[in-house]
Amino acid sequence: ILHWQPNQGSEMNSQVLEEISQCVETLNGVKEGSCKTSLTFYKPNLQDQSAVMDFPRDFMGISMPELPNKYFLIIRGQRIVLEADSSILVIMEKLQSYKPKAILNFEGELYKLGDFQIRVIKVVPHQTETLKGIMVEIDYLPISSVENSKQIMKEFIDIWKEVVSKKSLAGEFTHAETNYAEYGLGDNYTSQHTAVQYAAAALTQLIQSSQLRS
Amino acid sequence: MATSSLEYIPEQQKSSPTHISSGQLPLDLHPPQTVEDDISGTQLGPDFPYYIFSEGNFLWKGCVRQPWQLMFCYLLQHVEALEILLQGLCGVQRERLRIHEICLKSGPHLGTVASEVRLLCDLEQSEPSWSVRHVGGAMRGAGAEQVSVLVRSMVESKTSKNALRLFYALGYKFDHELLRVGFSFNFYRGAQITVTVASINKMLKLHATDEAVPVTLGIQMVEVIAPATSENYTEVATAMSSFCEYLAPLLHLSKPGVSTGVVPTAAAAAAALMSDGGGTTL
Repeated sequence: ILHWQPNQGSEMNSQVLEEISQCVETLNGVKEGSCKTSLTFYKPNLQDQSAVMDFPRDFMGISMPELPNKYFLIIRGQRIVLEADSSILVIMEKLQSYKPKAILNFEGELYKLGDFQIRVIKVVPHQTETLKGIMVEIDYLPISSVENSKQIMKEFIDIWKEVVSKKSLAGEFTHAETNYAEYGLGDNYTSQHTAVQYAAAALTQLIQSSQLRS
Repeated sequence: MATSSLEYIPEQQKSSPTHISSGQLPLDLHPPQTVEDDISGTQLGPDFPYYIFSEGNFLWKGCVRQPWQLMFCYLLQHVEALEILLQGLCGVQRERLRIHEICLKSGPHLGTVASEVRLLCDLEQSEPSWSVRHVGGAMRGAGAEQVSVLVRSMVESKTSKNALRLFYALGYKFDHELLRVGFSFNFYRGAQITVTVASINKMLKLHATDEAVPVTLGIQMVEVIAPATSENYTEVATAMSSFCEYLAPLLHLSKPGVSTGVVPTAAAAAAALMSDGGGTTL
């Protein structure tokens, strides 16, 4: 996942998004559809609010459109990811120990470029139209091994950054490596790996939003 | 798939070592903690399957997006005979069962009311598989009075293996754990029924499933479970009761507080089953 980092003082707006989508088309990307991943931030439901520091503040849940019967729970600080049936949401509702605090939607347009899939994603708080962030998710389909696909992913990302830079937009794409082993995840890429990346993306987004405001 | 189970605990017979009262039952079957668990009068839609548990002749059910559980529970001595009887009745192969159940309770401050969640690890598979289960409160009110059973909600979700770590990190604390070891039969007879016969074991050291010992030596618990929805639960209950009658030579159902005693002919029935391997018609 690559994050769009706007330059200091510049805006995040749909024009930038449009330009970025055009970049994909420049590379002969073929639009295949849309998708929406939702990420929920949870907060503990406490009798005594002063105890809030005793509970995780980065507890998130993710639902992915391609896996409607699954739900992913992540506590980022402790590097925990859990894949569950979507009935876990009913259990959480019954437990009443954690409640949703905020929801971020990752609304993506899916493009196919040869063996690659790119999602151009706009990050939008739930039930708003406000564009809070732009991301690009790149999948290299033939290889499931994280390690084995690193080289080819790097090459693609370099090409992508070059194409984007030609547009002279006020920002650039940044990319952070994820240490999947810390989450107990193996080399074979799974939806749990994706969930971990989205959780990281959401937190990056939060930081970015607060930086833009300041 | 919905499941329903009828759970029954016979009245203690002081003279017989094979019975214990529900008060001594080595399980965390307990009354609901919160008023909000009361779902009496709830409008239950057709999409909502139920869980039904019964204590004695009580059924516990609730409207959740999960199967019903009618749990029929009896502690008995004649396990081998029961296995032969079940083999004959069900016509399917038995499956081995080894489930580690860890009960967690919410720590102080967490939640406006205390909550409890159960983590189940299936140890019989080559790769242990985990699920998370929430058992809710009993149905109360006029509706509950009309059925000769208690009703309780239950929701289960399969998870990847990090469930225990996640719940500890969320502020849940270990309460108790047990290991169920036995076998089960899964078959169709008016409803898709699963009968489980298992010993309940406790671990002498935390999570040491290899060193588990029976809570009460020689005692097994029988659970009869069948799927149901809000539309058909009465038919399922009838199917299950009919099936349970076939178990009558060895054990039978009654309301808690109403003594059934030992099935007087259980020993003889067991002996007959054992001697000719199920050929006897009971």
